[in-house]
Amino acid sequence: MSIQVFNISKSFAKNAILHDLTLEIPTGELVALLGPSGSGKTTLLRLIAGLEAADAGRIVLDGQDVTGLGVRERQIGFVFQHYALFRHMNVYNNIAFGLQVRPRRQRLGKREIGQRVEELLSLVQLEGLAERYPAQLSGGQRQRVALARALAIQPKFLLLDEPFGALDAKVRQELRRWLRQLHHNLEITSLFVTHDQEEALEVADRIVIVNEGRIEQIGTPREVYHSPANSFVYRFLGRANRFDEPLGGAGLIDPAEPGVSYIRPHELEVSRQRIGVNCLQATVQHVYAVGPIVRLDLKKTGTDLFFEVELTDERYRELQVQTNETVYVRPREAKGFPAEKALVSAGSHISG
Amino acid sequence: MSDDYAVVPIRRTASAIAEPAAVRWLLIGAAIAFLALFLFVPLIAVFAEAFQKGWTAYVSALREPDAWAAIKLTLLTAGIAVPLNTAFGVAAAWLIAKYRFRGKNLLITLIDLPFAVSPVISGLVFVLLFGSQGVLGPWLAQYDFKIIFAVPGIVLATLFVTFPFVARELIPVMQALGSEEEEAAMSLGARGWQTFFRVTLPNVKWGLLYGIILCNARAMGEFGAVSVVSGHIRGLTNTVPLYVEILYNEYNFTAAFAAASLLAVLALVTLAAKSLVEWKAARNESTYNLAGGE
Repeated sequence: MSIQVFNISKSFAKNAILHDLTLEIPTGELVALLGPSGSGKTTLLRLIAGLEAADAGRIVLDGQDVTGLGVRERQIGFVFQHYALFRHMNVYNNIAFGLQVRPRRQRLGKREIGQRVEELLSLVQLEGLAERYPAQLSGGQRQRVALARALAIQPKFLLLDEPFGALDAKVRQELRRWLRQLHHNLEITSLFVTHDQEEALEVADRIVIVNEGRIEQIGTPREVYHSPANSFVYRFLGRANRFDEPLGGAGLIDPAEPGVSYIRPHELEVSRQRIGVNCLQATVQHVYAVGPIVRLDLKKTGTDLFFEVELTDERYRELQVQTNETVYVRPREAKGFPAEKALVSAGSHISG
Repeated sequence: MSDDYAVVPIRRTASAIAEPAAVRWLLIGAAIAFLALFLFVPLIAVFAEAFQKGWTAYVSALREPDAWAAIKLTLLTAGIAVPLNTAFGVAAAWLIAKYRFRGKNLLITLIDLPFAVSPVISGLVFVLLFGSQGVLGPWLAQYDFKIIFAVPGIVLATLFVTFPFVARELIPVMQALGSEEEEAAMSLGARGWQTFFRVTLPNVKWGLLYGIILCNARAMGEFGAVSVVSGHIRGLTNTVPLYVEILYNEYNFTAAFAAASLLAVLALVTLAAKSLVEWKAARNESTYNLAGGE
């Protein structure tokens, strides 16, 4: 039950959203479509669901070409960003909806529908809330009702649009773990859209990184994080310091090759003494000393280059650095990319 | 000292937003006087005049065959115009709220046209189209089908005049709802009509009912457009408003006001129904949109 997308293009009123995009999602995986807002990830999800029609290209679900089929025929469970629960129906009727609208011959009896709804309610841990209306539920509960409703029709695929987007941080954390567990038990091919890299890295088996209507990289969380295909992926997956020259951090990059270097704040080592050849001299601009990780804002001496360093609280106490002091910094690791690729989306030196 | 700090600004704010008592009473008094003069006094006058010669005179005025014919024609006209315009209004609102297409603004403007045009002009348009001297007149005459000075003309004119009510009420409601719930219904396998009857309609029912009530009130009360196309044939093409005018012109005041009182009752019932629908809708809103336990 794989999802295959071939050469899909889509524009809205002359704005090209997706450019000739090809993607394959293997059976049973939980995959994240990760990208900044406006990257086209939600459009891609809606195209796969059949809620939008593609301008060009083919969509194949479970080996069957469904490009010409509508959302009804695609056997997809879709969870909307704002849940789109039927506000005039209680939880029971929301979940039962997909079973009640089936053609009479395929429809289950009242009792079977009732049983199925009960099962789903216990699956999403909402037993006893069947009579409530959506407005009487919390955000996390609504999310789970939306999921139960989508699962009621026993879809072959589960598509979720920003499933945790509208929830507060704590509920988010719980639901993430719960979704992982649920996917593990159901083994249904699932695709979810998110703009939150942490969420994607934590929940997904595989991540598809989308930017400006194109796929930048596909891989497991480890792959995309540790071997980013380009500077966009590198910058998008975590905090990054940009240096406009090749830095021979730990001998990883040949300083003779033209290009830019990226270094994550925790990959920089800080000391009070000059260490080795690749050492930068910098002044401390600001110290954020809250929590187990302490962050320093540094400015390279003699330049206007600002960058960040993260160190453990332990190391910070050892160093005892303060604002305006001079320190020496050495990269443990760095990633180099060809210069022109990086220039395309170069904004500030430091991006979160 | 600290107490003074707390009290002084509050007193200032209160006096800054409130008018002096004299001004307040003057404004409220003016509003009430205006309402009394233009709404309550005429309403009372209608009933007073209608019952001037007693209950029996009132009843017998309404039991006239011509009066009875006018009532039946009014009910028939509303009975045709309201369902048709409801169907049209729902379709137009659906189209405008859920789809993007070229010429949408033009369509919205066209829906408003009957409000913008004087009803007499709309009646004249039908005379020019279907009258014996009109564009389609000779062709209709060939088949011996009368529209002008006959019931079809009255129904047509009423349809035209009451055309915008339902669509006007529904468009903002449907636009506010968006189409996510419909998309959800379709993704769950619902067909078009299932989506409409199970998801869309329950969400807009109060707005729809409100539009229907207003449409009905206008359909029964319309004078100008109907007057032009009717021909005022007693017992045949008189609706209640036209019948009132004829009686009045004949100095038959009791009968005129008796018929007028029917329209006044219709107005009161409409207002009551409208308030009920608004109250129900507000209550529903609060059940569905009750702040969640987040």
